[in-house]
Amino acid sequence: MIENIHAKLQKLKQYGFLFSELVSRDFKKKYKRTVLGMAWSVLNPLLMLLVMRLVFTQFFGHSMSHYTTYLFCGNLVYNWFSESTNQGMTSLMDNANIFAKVNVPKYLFLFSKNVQTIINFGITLCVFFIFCALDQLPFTWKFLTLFYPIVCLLVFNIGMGLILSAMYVFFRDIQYLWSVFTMLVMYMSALFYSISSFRPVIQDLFLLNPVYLYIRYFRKVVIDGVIPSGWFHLLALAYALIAFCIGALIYKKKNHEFLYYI
Amino acid sequence: MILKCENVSIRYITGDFKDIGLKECILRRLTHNYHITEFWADRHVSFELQAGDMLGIIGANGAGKSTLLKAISGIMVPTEGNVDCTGKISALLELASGFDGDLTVRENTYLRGAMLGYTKEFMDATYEDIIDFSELRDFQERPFKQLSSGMKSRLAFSIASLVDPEILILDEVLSVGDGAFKAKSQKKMRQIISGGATTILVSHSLDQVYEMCNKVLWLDKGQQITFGNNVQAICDAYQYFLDTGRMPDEMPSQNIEPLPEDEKVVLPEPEPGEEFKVAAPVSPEIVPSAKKRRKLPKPALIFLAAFFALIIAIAFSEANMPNMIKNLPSHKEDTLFNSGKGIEVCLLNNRLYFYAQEGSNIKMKFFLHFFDEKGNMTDDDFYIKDAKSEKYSSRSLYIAEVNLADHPGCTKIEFGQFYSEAEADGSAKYVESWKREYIP
Repeated sequence: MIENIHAKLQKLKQYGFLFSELVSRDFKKKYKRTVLGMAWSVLNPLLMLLVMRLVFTQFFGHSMSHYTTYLFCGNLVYNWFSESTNQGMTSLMDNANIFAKVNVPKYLFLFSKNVQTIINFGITLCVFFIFCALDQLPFTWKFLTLFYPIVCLLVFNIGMGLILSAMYVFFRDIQYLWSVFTMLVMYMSALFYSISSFRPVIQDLFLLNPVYLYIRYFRKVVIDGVIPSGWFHLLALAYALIAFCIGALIYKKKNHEFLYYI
Repeated sequence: MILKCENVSIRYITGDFKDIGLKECILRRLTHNYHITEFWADRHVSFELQAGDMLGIIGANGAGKSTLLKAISGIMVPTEGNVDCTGKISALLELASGFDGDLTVRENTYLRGAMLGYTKEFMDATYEDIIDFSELRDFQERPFKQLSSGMKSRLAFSIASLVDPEILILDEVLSVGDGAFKAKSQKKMRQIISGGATTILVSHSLDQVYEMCNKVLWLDKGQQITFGNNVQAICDAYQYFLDTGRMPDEMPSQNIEPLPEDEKVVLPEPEPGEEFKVAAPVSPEIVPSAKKRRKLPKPALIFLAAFFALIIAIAFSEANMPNMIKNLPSHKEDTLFNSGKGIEVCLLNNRLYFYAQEGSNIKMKFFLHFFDEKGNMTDDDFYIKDAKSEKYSSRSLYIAEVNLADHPGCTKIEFGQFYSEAEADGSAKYVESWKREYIP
């Protein structure tokens, strides 16, 4: 067991350099020929927030205290999820010409994409905290608990990425289905509305949506100043682990079959 | 023994679900015309290499050379048989591919080095050598796609040849570059080989194989024609095959004399089985196909079934759709009336919704009575709501929903709050604290 872990660590070390090179490649390619470069990581979510804020307060007349922060919580989490899964989905296929020629661990490509999206998320998170301050929300030690849903969501994103990228190799159709599905998730995640007018049973059903769960965690801590219950934490962890285990299992089983379908 | 291939066979499957698409697949299955085709890229290939050997693999296009190399380098797993390899492999398959056109030469060099398993320190130390060897010093910061194809191959070769591998696999790489570079690369190769590396070389240049290799493997349409160390004879036989298109009538006998100039090489003992095996006659078609009927892959079936079930369920379940998809009253627009006791009644789609307004009792015992036109009570219902036990607190507490269609003939609905009093005998008595009525 210990030897096994040791061997794994050794392997990880060996591929550390490749991993860092892949990450830097992805970064260079992403912002190539853009004028503002990295600034888009901040601007993009802000512009989306602006649009939503405009639409839902001016046109639909939503009134809720801390509505901007409420929106931002949703956008922050949902954007990360959507970006990470959509880019993760194609990560394996995009690097087909590499793993068809060199024997490298195939999950590295997905991890590298995820490093990129988590950095994006981190930058947006900083902006988010600035917005919280502008919204006169009190900063307390409870904000530290946000670390928990972030780690859970990271694991969840990687898990979904593993599942999707493997499926994408076998069924290219998944990209069209997934874009529809992420839209469904967006509307089911209460990004811009409140679910408190629903019956309690239906409110509980919303928790079946992992993205909503993580958004709710953020809102509870940031807006309500409450730390969610233990069950809430367990559920958040369960979603992440389930997705990750399924993804890892698929990769383990199909590792040598990918090559036949590129 | 450093590398051993035992009876290696690799199969590709074509014409299955993923290949022809869903529509075609279903159509063909319906018309009983659904076949998959197996294509054996390599069939029963066996050979063994010792340290210091240099193996040349020859054969026409499509003979299965590159597929075999993929199996050796661990990219593919053989369908049958196994590859036994002790030692670090550096594989250079289709050298110039796998570079990223958008990155600069320097970035690509580091990336490729990382892929080949070098460390950062090693790359930092050898980067200058690589650039010098490939003669690309002036092009370091240029995007890779702006290089000429000769330059690309030169860079690829330069990176790969700086390895210190135990097994080096070269797929048609020695023909890169112009004449001068070709000579330089051959010299470099000799240097690596004399360093004790086991090398596998795929080449269409017979001269090159003849000149550099001490063992030859001849593949044709996936079949192993022969393997042995009498390079000269096999090359001649292959040349004869190329010239005439026919297999030579008799294969050259095996040369068992050790190569004089290389003391390090320990040649294998000639085994009786290592006589030239002439493969069974191969059919003229490229595809030795085995036609088989094959079912749709199981996960795909389950996925399809679930998908259609979902669509059907959504299409026909409108009546049972949860309220979140239907409209919910929005308090402001749909409020029918306010009871004056903190209860708000909304009517929407022939349903009555009861809400407790903000600031009303936290503990809510609520009743509903339904009356027909004769004044008889036809139905009653009660709800006990505790705002504290609800997982949320909102500006109004949802209490009850009544579908008026469930109560046909109802002319009056009474609603209100009640409390319970303990009787002397221990039973509870329910007392209405207030009530209002609603006439539909």
